[in-house]
Amino acid sequence: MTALAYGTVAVLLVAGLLGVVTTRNLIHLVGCLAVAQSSTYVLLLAVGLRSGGRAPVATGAPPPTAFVDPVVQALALTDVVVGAVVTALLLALAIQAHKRFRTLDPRDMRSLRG
Amino acid sequence: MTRRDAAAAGAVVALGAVVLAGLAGLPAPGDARSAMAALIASTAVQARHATDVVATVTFDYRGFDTIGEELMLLAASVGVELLLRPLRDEALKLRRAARIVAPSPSAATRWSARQAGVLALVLGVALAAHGHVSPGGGFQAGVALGAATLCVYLASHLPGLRAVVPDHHAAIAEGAGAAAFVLLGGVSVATGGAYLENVLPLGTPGRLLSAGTIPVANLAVALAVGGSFATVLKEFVEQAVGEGRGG
Repeated sequence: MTALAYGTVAVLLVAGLLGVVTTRNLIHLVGCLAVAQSSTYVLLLAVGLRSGGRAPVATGAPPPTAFVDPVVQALALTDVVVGAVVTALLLALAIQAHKRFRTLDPRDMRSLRG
Repeated sequence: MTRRDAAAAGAVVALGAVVLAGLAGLPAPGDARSAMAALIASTAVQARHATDVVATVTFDYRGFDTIGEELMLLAASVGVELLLRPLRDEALKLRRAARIVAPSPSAATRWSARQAGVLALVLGVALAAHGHVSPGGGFQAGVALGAATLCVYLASHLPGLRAVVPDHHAAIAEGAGAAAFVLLGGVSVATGGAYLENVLPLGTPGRLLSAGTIPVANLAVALAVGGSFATVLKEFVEQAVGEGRGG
């Protein structure tokens, strides 16, 4: 279980960042960033997991002792909002960059060159 | 792949190894024994009468953070609107594009988009109204409501979207929702309590009218988030049409 959960986190992070550093397309870059960021959702939920734990919703019947951690679930909600916000802003910037340079390839954007 | 790419890829893989080594030091998943989680699990339902404990965490224990989260979404949506505002030459192009009679979507697209739009609308309202008793809440509801406006675009193209979501209406909903959420916190301060402290009757846990101010906060957030998503999606759609694509 440890290997599966944390391995998934590392694979998502590395795959996303590999895309970010090697891509030649700004839209593709935003997608890769979203993949890298999704590793944090898996990490948050894995950290709060309890074997045999139920979703943190009280049903009334048994006393709510074996909940999975509701705090990290609330943090995952924030994480998702941040992800959506970053994606929207970066896509808007990519549109502006395309208007200015007529390309989405960062190598062809002269004023972005170091 | 250039040499620079290879070097960068090597660095990323090395970073992945470091992250993995760090993760190995965490408790195994399934062994979570956070004292705070245990405390919240044993007291949250009695304290706020909301059966969805995540809603209690979001709108009570860390309610002030949630205000920040909502304002961040508002700021980002304003940022997208500023970045994508029509410049002088583009305004002309947009007006011209508005006159173009767009090819009507196929019957299959129209039918599917209508069904999906109605489903998204119902789902959004249900998630907002029941956020304190079952999984869901204002943020999830807002995303569903935003998706419903995108279905309107798919079913009837830009004129339909403009008829259902006239200019500025989504932005007004967004601002009103965010303001209602911030003011809701202020109500308890005015009556001598802490910010976002409950001021309404708590009711019976599991009932629609329960959990005091949490359902009110959920509705305000649903309005704000739905407005944000509708605004941002409309901006992107208008860009696509203005560019002569997607249209």
